[in-house]
Amino acid sequence: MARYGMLIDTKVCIGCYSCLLSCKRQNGLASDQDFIRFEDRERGSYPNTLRESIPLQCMQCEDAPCVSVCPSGASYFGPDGLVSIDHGKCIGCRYCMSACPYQVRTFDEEKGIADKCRFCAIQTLSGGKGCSCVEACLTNARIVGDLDDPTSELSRAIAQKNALPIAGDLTQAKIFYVR
Amino acid sequence: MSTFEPVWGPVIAGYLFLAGLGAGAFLFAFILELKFPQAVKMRRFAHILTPVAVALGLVLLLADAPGALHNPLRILLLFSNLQSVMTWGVYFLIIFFAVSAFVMIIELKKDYILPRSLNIIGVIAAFCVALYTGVLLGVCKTFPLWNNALLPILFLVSALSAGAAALLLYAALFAPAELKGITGLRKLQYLLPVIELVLLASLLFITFYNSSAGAASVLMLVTGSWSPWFWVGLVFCGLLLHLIVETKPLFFSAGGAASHGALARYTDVGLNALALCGGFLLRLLIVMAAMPLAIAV
Repeated sequence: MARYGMLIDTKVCIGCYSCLLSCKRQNGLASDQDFIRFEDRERGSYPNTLRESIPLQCMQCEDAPCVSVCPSGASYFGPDGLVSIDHGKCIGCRYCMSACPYQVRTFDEEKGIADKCRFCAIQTLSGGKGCSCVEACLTNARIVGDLDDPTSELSRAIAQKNALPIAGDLTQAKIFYVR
Repeated sequence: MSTFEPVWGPVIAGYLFLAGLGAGAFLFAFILELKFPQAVKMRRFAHILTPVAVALGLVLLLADAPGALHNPLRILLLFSNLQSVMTWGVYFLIIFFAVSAFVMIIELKKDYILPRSLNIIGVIAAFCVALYTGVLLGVCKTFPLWNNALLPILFLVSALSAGAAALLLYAALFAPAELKGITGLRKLQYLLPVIELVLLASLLFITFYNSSAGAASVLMLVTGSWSPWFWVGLVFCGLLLHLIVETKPLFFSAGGAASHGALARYTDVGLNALALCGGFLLRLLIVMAAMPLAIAV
């Protein structure tokens, strides 16, 4: 069993939103629905300031609040520990959206259910082709891989760049950020 | 952060209020039965109001869950995840609704004999329902305004307050004769806004110092876009006014709440109607003013 995760290097992210748009296309999302959201801000104090773009999406938490609060079992840990949504079970109560500290769950108004990043980028690991955020990134800011394999590109990059989950150990997130 | 859209809105606030109102009414019916057995009409009203309020609340809940509304079979899934506070809520609500509906049927029959054991089960379920509405919000780490242990207590006291207000509003309108012998009940009711004010103030102070999101939530209530509703609607009309008007007649006049004139009756109607609005406003403000934690700091 793999334990999939991702690294996002905000130092090379240029905030072009290519990942967001490719994700919309890959998953056929409505114009008002995004699986990736950006927090753009300035950091530091003059004269040492920098502009930071932070793409946020489902963090694939190991301690996932959405899974524990979901009353119908629609949010669940799927194969390889991926946090998934069974669309056929969701009652649309939006409890998961309230519980997710990263606010990366969206509401599909048409179907009346909650939705989120499906971590489709892992298809590239098995040679699949798609239009995922990882493939679309112009500056290669994203790496996807197996956290349990110490020789994977992801594991090496996390160690090398000292990447950390965006909110510490809040939910045991599996997306690591370089900032 | 200012662009944050609340996940839930007035419909859920309405549900939280109605569930609390039902629980509060049932608990006050129990008190009436124990201590004021002569207030039959009030007790009867409370027992009828309870399942009606809970059922209306459930309708609102379902109306705000389109996935279940379009696929009603999915409601059957709601018993599975025992980790979820919402699942516990479903159990509490079903037990409470079943018991209170049964009590209503007993109440509507000619000779009223309510088994004590059934009443006790109803009372326990009422406490669970009232508290759970606070825990439901409380487990969301995202919002400091919710994520604390004061909220369930505040919702419980507010539920009692709404229940009492509904009964006294009914009595003032349709059974004024029963108002005479229930000064003790009024004194009990008087305590509730006092406790609510203490809890609300504590909640806001502690949330303010919790984090920047907590401070933003509190400021939204006390100085921001919700402040007129907060100060005028909730604090003044919903809580303080009751204390201002009732202190003298309840505690500093010779005959207790002895005045039964038309003015006293209209005062009762107004105060208790406002207390009910205050109960709804409390939920609405708590739901709407919760700001999410800043994730990437």
